Amino acid sequence: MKKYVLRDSVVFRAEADGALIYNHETGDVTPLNATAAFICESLFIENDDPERVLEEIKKRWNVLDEETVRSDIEKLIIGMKQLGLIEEKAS
Amino acid sequence: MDHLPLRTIYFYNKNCNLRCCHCWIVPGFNEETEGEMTFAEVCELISQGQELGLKGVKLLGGEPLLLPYIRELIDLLISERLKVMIETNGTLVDDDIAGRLAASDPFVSISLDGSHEQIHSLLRGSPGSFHEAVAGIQKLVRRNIRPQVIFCLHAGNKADLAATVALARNLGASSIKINFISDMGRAQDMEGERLSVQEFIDIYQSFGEKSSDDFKVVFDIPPAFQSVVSLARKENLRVCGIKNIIGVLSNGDLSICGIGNIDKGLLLGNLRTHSLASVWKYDKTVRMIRENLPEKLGGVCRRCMFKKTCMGRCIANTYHSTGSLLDGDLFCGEAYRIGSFPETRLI
Repeated sequence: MKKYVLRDSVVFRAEADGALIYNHETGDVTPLNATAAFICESLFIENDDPERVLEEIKKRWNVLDEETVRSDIEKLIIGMKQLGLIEEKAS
Repeated sequence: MDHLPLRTIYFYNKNCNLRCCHCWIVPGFNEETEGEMTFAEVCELISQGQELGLKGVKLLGGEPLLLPYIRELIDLLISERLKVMIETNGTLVDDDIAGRLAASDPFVSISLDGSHEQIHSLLRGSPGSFHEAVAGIQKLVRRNIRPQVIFCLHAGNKADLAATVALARNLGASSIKINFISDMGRAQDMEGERLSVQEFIDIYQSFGEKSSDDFKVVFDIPPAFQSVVSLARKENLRVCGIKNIIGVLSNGDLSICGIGNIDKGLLLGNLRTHSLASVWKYDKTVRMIRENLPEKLGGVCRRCMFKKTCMGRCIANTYHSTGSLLDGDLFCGEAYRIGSFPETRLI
């Protein structure tokens, strides 16, 4: 899986029930629910291993279906790429 | 094109059949309509608006249903395929009005400030207005129009909020919107009755999420104070369309929103002497708003991540208090001053 990071123009703010992402370039705010916030913080800020993040989500949110989690992560990456919030991490 | 399309006209009747103690527009009370626009002039206004991109007309006041040509106006807007929005005290909704509205998909708001007459009358004053408003809602619902109930929160009705939410739901309303009463117009005399910014925030936070699939509970509170869950649902997001709105008072005065009724500094001209297009395209205040919102907002708005969303909220209210349209939202400014503005929402 490719690695992504938040773009420099993007600010991540953790909140009690999720997170907010602010894009300085557009002025737009994107709310993330608790799961999406965890994925975003783990993958795009802390650069955790995707498989470890997947396992942690299954544990924390008591999700049995691994494919659902994998699909949710992929959807989040696609969505955030489309909004210009993340970019591929330079190797 | 150096002007934005004009999407909505806010058409204010300067007259009302109630004398509510919190009203910001301070309309006349059952006054004669001398000097008011004729229906022919209103038709011309609508026609001029359509040339600028008009999509809908919001009728408010005062009491819009007191307009002598209200029935013809509703029919005209529907026949022109314009969105009809009405903000009314509900007391004058009759079967004929409901029937005419039912020919389209209108958005109707009716004020209900308590679950019974005694509480409702604390703001409305007029005996019987509660039952008339409830009857108005019922007449609309019978025509499959589910109005929004507007509840203005104050010290005298805050304990009745849950009961009014339940009443609105049971009456068949689509939603209830809970408003903060700003320090404008007659509300300036409500000292001790108006809630403070902190009290309103506290009630919003303690009331919790009460929306369901077919009934929304909406607090008119800036997005900076809303939970992530609420922001994601967008239920409480009031995006001010000020860049695409013009206010027209029933005497033909053009204004930023309806503020021209109480603050002559925001009158932009009169339709009897100015064309709508000339004001919309060239008026210096309209152009200033177009060019400076939201980037040049001051106060806490300058640092807020939501300034593009709420555009400084009610800039007319800000102007009325500070003399500048760009000084930043007063509610948020006060919250910031008392240390209640969420730090995580500042950039």
